[in-house]
Amino acid sequence: MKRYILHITMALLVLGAAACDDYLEVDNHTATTEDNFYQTEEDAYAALYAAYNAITDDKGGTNEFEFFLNMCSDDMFTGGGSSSDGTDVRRFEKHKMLVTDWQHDQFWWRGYVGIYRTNVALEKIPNITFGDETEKARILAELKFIRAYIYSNLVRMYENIPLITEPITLADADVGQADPDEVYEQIAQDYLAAIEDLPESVEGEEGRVTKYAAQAMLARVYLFYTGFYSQTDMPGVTLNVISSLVDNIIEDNHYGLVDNFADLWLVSGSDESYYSREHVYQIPYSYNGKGASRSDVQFYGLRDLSNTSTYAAGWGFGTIHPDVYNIFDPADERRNATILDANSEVGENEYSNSYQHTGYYFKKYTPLSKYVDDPAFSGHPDGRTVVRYADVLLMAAELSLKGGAFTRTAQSYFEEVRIRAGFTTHPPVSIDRIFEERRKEFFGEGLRYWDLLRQGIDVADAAITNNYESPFDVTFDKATRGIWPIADVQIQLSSSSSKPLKQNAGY
Amino acid sequence: MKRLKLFFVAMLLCSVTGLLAQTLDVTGKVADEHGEAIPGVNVTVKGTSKGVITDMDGFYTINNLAAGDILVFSFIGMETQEVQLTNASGGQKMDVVLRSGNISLNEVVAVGYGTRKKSSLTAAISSVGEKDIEKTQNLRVEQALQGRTAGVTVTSSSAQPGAGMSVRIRGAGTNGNSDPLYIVDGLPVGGIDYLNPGDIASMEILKDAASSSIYGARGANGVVLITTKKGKAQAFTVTYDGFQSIQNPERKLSLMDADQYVLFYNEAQLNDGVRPMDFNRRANTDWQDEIYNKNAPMMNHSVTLNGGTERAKISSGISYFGQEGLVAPDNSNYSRITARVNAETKSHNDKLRTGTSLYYSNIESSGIDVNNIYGGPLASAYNLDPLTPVRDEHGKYGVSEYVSQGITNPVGKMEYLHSQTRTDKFVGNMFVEYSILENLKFKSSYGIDLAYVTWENYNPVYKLSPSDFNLVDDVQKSMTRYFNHNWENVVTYDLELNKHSINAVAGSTILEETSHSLWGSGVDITKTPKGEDYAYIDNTISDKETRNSSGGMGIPNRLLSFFSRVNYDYNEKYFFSATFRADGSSRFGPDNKYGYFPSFSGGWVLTNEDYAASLKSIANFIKLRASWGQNGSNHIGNFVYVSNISDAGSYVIGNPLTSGISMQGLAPNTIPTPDIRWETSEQTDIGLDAHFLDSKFTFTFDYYNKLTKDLLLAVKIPGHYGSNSPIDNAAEVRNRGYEFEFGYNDKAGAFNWGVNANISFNENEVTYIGNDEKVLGGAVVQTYGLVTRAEEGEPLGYFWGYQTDGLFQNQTDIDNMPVSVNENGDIVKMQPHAQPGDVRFIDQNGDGVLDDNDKINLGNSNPVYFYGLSLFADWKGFDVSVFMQGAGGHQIANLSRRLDAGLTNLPATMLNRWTGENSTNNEPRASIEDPNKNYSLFSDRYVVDGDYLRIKNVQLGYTFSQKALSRFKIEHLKLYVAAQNLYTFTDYSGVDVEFGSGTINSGVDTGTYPQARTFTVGMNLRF
Repeated sequence: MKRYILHITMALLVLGAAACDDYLEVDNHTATTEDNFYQTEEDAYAALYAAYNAITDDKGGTNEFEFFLNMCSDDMFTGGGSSSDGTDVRRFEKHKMLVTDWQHDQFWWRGYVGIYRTNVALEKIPNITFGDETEKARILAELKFIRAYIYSNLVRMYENIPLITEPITLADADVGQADPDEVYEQIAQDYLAAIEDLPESVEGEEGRVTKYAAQAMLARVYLFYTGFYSQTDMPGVTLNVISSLVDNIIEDNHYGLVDNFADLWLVSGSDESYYSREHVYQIPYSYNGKGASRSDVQFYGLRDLSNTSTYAAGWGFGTIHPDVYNIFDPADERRNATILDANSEVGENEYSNSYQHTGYYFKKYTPLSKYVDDPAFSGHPDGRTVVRYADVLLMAAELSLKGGAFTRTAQSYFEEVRIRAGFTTHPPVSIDRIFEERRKEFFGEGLRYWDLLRQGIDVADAAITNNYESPFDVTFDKATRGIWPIADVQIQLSSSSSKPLKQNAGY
Repeated sequence: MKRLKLFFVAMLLCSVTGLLAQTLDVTGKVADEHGEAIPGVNVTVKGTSKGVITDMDGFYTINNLAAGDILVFSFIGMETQEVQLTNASGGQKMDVVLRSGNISLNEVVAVGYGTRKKSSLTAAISSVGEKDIEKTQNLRVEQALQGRTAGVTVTSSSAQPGAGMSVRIRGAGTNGNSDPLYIVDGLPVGGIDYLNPGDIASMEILKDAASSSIYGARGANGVVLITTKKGKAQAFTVTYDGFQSIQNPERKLSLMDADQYVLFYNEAQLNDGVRPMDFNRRANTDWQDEIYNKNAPMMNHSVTLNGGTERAKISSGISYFGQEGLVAPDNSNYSRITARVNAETKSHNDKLRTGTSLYYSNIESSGIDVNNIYGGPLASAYNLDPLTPVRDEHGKYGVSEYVSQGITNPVGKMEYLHSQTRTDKFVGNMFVEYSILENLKFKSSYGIDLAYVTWENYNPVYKLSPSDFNLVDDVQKSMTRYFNHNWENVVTYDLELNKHSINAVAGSTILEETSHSLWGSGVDITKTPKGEDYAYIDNTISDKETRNSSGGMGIPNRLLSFFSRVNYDYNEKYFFSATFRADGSSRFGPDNKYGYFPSFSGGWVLTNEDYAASLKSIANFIKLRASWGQNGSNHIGNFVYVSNISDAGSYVIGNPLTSGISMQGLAPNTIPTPDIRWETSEQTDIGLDAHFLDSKFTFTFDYYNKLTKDLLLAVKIPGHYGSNSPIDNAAEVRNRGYEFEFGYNDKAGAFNWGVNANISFNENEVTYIGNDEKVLGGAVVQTYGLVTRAEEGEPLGYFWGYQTDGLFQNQTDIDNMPVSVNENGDIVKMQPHAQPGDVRFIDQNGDGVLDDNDKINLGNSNPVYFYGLSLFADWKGFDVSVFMQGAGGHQIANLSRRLDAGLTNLPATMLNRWTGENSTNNEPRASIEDPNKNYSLFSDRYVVDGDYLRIKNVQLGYTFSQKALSRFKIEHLKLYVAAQNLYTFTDYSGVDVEFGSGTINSGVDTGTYPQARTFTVGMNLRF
């Protein structure tokens, strides 16, 4: 008897110990956690939309990065209400950014919020069973596209950034900054992998990316890397590979230019401003009850407008110098679609002058009464153009001139863009002419600053440093090589890790 | 064999004494003068080594004695008694009564998973016995702990009926829940408000790590072991305890009356350069008088049955406790009905012991908002102007013309509050203990704790002011079922070899806590007549929009633990003890589910050394103790280690201008912290126990140093994590201090008297904070902003504000204030709007600018020392006891005045305002606009010393003599009168000085509930 009891006791203790691992695992059946999410196809889509959301919400505080890139380039001045309005924005314009400017902190962590969402989803979604496995592959490809897109923005803004491709934990505090080449290689890998599984068309599901978008975006990064670092190839992508990818976009004929350049923008009233055949990728912004209003638009609007039949009032940012207005040939249809000559179109006394006033404002994204006054919108639903077919054509011309193999000639790609702008005669294509064309074609779309940097620091300096009188004077800071400063607060927060973040040169 | 032994004994006796041998077997019970059994009494035969010790219930049996033998009953701290046996003693019960003595070395106290003689303890354990509990009329168990032992602070942050109390053992060491772990009859319970204090036999407080580490992961804040009354092997008794009390507020706030109010505000307007308004003096209302419930009743009745044999013992009881609140009797009250049964059996040659206990408790309580500056009848009574009548000329509740926001007629407010909580709680426990060998026991016990908590709320249609109204009535109800169960298996082994004695315990425990809830609401009660009686969801308008419901589950919390302890004792001289516990908790991630908690302790009884024999005439017992150990706290909530998935914004699929649809994104909101681990508390304790003059004078001293590491809090992380701040182990708090307990008992003839006193000193310091600022924010109060915070090197939760230096008396003072140069090059005064009569703030950093950098530590709510003192005496049936308790060295922030609600009533002390040069240097000039922010800046003007001494209880009783009672078959009858909270010595001007401490945001008085001064008559009756 005694022995039995002893045995039973021992058995109970041992059983208890053996069962314990399971016993201590509990599930939460009403709250959603990382452990019980990522189970169904719906979960996978929700994770995907969260990642897409990150690229709509990547603002540096108040504005998307294109706004600050426009200020950094030779295209725009800050403007605003007075000398004390937007002083932090003006430091971008003057190339005197501070490590304490909050935009840098915001771009940094918002970018990494997106990276975290994609990393977690990329780890979890492969374990979900899909009815249609090609749809799963497509979602994973979209996540890779988004990750490559965010990294390509961060690496161009801040150059020395942590490269994180798996869900991070607190223990990974010593991740440190990666060699930029590693980041570019990762971008190439992600875009190339995405191209494999992305569809050619997203009709009915616009807003999701196609394989052509990945091809075009990779070409953009390739051109920046090879230009900025004076290399012939980018890690993971050769000239031949990228040329055939760009040629493929053109030859597959899914895209084309819209007939009328002005129709690309909401102000035209055309229904081609969203998801036209020219939009290879466009980030949707929406309206009341459907996500966010596009914030840059409010900044570019005229101040204190009295006649609001077309335009709604904004804050008078992004004034454009007459010298810049005048780079456009009067016959160039893009001029009046791009730049708002406020005094002639609206009337000198109908609005308040901005600081750094010129009378010229940015027209592609400007507040419109139609949407501001409509309670269904109450905001600015302007789409954020990421890459257009015109860009594909001009990149094809550029790659072709650099020796890439293309079906058509560089001259024909170049002319196709010029013809749509209203030109009938064309000079022979050259790298310089391509850059001139790009400036006019993509004015205000956030490409100019990077187009300058990739031509070399001296070209950027020559273009950005001006001899205008105050308050239009700008001196490019070559010591920074055009790279932005890493936010001081981020450096402080990483200071306890074994690989604290190092500030970029020149700050 | 037995016969053979008898034979030899008989032969021996015959040959020595030559007398005719007749052996006697004597049995009996040893009790004290109150009839309480005394376990552990030494019963020896004088002149021999023969002897036994009384069992847990005071019984002894001693065989083979002879007439003429003298039995010696000795028990330290009590008078030794000798009884000579006669032939007639044989076969009879010989009960003995030992007199006096309150502290006994042989007293057996509960330790985790066992009991131990007090003299052999190596850890810091304090106990509170039945008699201490009976001395005061407690409504909650925690009150019985208050002031009784060193190292335990018990404070009520509200004296509202049923309000919880905060119990802190050796200071607060966590940012979260600092409550100790309560174990009732071996079962861990969530709270102890369900217990009738009268059902408790003893409470042991495990203070150091050596004693509490056997409870491992939950012991970091100390452990309170509660043993309820058990059946005794005695004739059946029925006990009735009852009392009836009346309660009145102990103190009121001294506020202005109508004349003073008008005078002050008229002067304030003149000072502000405004023409004084013509106040509409409709009344002179003392709102506190209007809301207080005079002579609020409180009563308690309990009946206990007790009795049985050695083989089967039973104790059962029922009780009722009811209390009306001092404020809003209909809406602030509490009642509790309890019923319990405790049964124990012995069988199989006493090898098998079983026990069952069942406890049912039904609690109904309703309460009003307390310590809430935003509203509630109390905040209104303290802030509403005296000019407003309770009811206006139309008989409606008076509406103030001068005070706004949520501060409205408190009498009306009380009428419109309808909120009630009902709890049904069952706690049951069953055990089986089998003696496998004489010294090897196995015990298995299973317990459940089931509670149904129902909450109902009804908001009628009312209008008390333009901002305080309800246009449509609504009703809400929620129900939650909590179910916890616990299974424990323990093996105990005892070994005695010569002078070595070993006691070893090993076991496992498995615990699960679950909850499920359901909530519903409805608006617009359609049934007529309306009112609380018809406030059911079924009676509201039924449609999807207005009737809501929700329901869910709480995440199960599971704990699986293994523990062991070895006690070693050499000749009652040297003691050593080691414990080890491993706890697995479901609250932590896979890599940190288990925590390991060791402890070691040792003791040396100096007085048992041969060479110390000469000491014994003065000090009969001196023991030195030392211990070290670790404990944990898993008070972090469930699933902190994984990330929750939450709204991650949306993305439009399709053209946003036409048919596009916004798709919801979901993503983790924080990175997981799988490495999150227990808060660990590491504690060293050095102690001394000493008894002098045959235990007339007793003394205990302890020094402790307790470091709580890995405090769990939200940490700030670099942006490239892409995550919000997760909860992680990121701070450290140290509590260290000294504890002293004294006792003195003496007698002169029939007069017995004694004193017990204890005092504790505690120092609290945050030693590490894992964020960049090294600071954590605490309490935020309307208008005043952040008023408490924690910082490295400072106490947890100190008051953070400006230091002041009197008032500006004249223009010269103002001209001399610090200045700075602004960006335009202008010289700017530090207090640009100051006028004579305004407060002078101190520019701590000398930059001439008054900002956060000038805020300093203005004090904190952690008492530096706290103490208790009880005096008792009895003479021929009369007894008197006085119990006092206090604390000091800490501060309270008195922020009960609403600054944003218009012309609120004010403390009468503000009448001592500045009225001209050198009129006063304390109270600033009257002003409503307050341009200098005399009132709205949180400064040392609001931080007041919280020192107090409270006469907690005075009781005067008479116990009838056995002789007088025996005619009525009554065993015991005592009648008493008592007073509670008779008087409080303090300089604090708030309504109650007793304030919670120990969290980062405690010690802020924003209008609390007054303590009750209670007068009681009561009776204990046993037959």
